[in-house]
Amino acid sequence: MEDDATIIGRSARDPDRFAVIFDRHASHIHRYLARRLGRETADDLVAETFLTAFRKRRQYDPQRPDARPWLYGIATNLVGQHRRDEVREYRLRQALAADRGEDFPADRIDADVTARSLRRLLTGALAELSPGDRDVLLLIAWEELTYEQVAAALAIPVGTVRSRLNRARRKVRQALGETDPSTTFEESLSNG
Amino acid sequence: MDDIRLVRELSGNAPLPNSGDLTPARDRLVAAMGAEQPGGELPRRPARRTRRVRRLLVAGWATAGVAAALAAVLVLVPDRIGGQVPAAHAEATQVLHGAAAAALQLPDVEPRPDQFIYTKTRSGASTDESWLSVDGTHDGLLRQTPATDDENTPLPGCRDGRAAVTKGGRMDPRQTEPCTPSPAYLPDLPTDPDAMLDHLNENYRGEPGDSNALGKDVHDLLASKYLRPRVRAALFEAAARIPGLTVVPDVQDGAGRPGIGIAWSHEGKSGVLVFDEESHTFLGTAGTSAMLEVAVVDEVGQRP
Repeated sequence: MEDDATIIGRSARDPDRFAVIFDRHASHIHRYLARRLGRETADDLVAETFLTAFRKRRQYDPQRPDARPWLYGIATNLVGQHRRDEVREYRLRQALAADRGEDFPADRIDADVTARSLRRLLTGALAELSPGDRDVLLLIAWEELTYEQVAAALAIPVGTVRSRLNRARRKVRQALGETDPSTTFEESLSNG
Repeated sequence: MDDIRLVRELSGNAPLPNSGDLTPARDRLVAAMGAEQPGGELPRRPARRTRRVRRLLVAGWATAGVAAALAAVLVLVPDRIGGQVPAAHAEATQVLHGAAAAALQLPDVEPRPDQFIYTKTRSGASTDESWLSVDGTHDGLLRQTPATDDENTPLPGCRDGRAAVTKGGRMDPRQTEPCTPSPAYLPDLPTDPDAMLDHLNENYRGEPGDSNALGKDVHDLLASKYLRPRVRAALFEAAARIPGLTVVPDVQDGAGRPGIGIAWSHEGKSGVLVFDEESHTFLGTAGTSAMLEVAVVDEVGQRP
C-alpha cells in the first residue's frame, strides 16, 4: 500500500488521488471534532479540514509517511476558531452530566452521583484550560497521539508539548483535588 | 490517580462515524478536486470563504437552540392538497406553506441595535435562556438551568474588532481577542421567497442547489437569528422550494411536544424541523431543541 506522503505527492498533479487521504482518515478526524465541538459542527469542519488540506497539499512534508498528525493539526486550528463554541460544548456536557441517572437502582445511586460530580469537575477543568494546553492534552488523551505526533501536528517543539501537557495535567489534578477524590471515582466513572 | 485516563474516559466511547455520515464532506472534497482537473470548473471557493467563516462563528448557536418562534400562535390552514396528490414532497410543501402563514401572524417588532433578543429554549431537562445583542457589539448572556458551577456564560460583544476574553465564566475586559460581530438581527434579509433562496445559495455553506446544505442553512437562520414575520415567512416559502423534502410523521421537539417533521436529504441528517400538526407553527428540532419564547428586550436579564 502506498503511504500518505506518496499519495499526497502524486495528488499535486492528479487531484483525484487525494480522496484516498479522506477515506483513510476522515472518520478519526470527524470523531475528534465531534468530541470537541459536538456532532453538528463536526459535520462541517471535517469538510473544511480536508478542503484546507487539499489546498495545502503541495506544502506537505514528504518525509512524513502518515498524514494523520498533519490533519489533526489542521482540524485543531479550526477548533481554535470556535473556542467559544467549544467551551460551550463542555458546559453543555457538564449540564447533561448533572441530570442523568435517575433510572439507576438505589444501590447504584451513590456511585453514580460520584461519577457525575467527577465528570462535572473534569469538563469544568477542560473548559478552564488555556487553548494551547487543551489542544495538547486532548490530542494525547483522546486521540492517543505520541508527543512527537503532537509536536508535528501543532508545529511546536516536543519540549513544548511536554510542558503544556504537564501544566494541563496539573490543572486537571487541582480541579479534582478540591473534592479529595479517591480511587472509587475511577471505578464509578468507568461504570457510569 | 491517572488523570490522563480520567480525561480519556470523559470522551466517552464515541464510535467512529459511518461512511454515510461523511458523505456530504466527501462530496465537497470531490467537488473541489474536480474543480482543479483540466477543463474543470474554476474554483469559486476563495470568494465564498470569508463569508463562510463568519457564518460558522454563529453556527454554534444552532446547537444551542437559540431560535425565534412563538408557539402560542395557532393558525389553522385549510388542506390545499386534497386527496389527489399524496406525494411526500407535496405534503412537506404544504406544511411549510402553513408555517409561512403562521409566521405572518406573529407580532412585527423591529429591534433597535442597542437591544437584546431574549430566547428561551429547552433541550430535554435543560432550559437555556439567552440575551443576544441585536447588533453584536453589546455583551450578552447565556443562562442554563439546571446549572452546575457556572450557570451563566457571558457572550462578549465585539467592538472595534475585539471582544473580551472569558475565563472561569467571567469576562476579562483587560484581555481581548479578535472577533467579528455576530448580530442577532440582520435588518436586510429578503422578504421575498425567490430572493431568500438566492440569498441562501449565495451566502451560506455548500454549492448552490445543494439541498442538504440549504436545509442546514434554513435551520441555522431559524436557530441563530431574530427573524421578523415577513422574513420568517419568506424563509419557509424558500424552504418549500428545496428539492428532496420529506415528511417525518410523529416526531417530538426537544421539550417532547409532538409535531410533524420536515427533513431534507441524507435521511434527515441535517436535522428534522418540527412543526405543530395543526397550526404548522415552527416548534423546534426533533429530539434536540424546543423554542419556547422569544422577545425583544432592553437589557440582559430582562424577561418579557
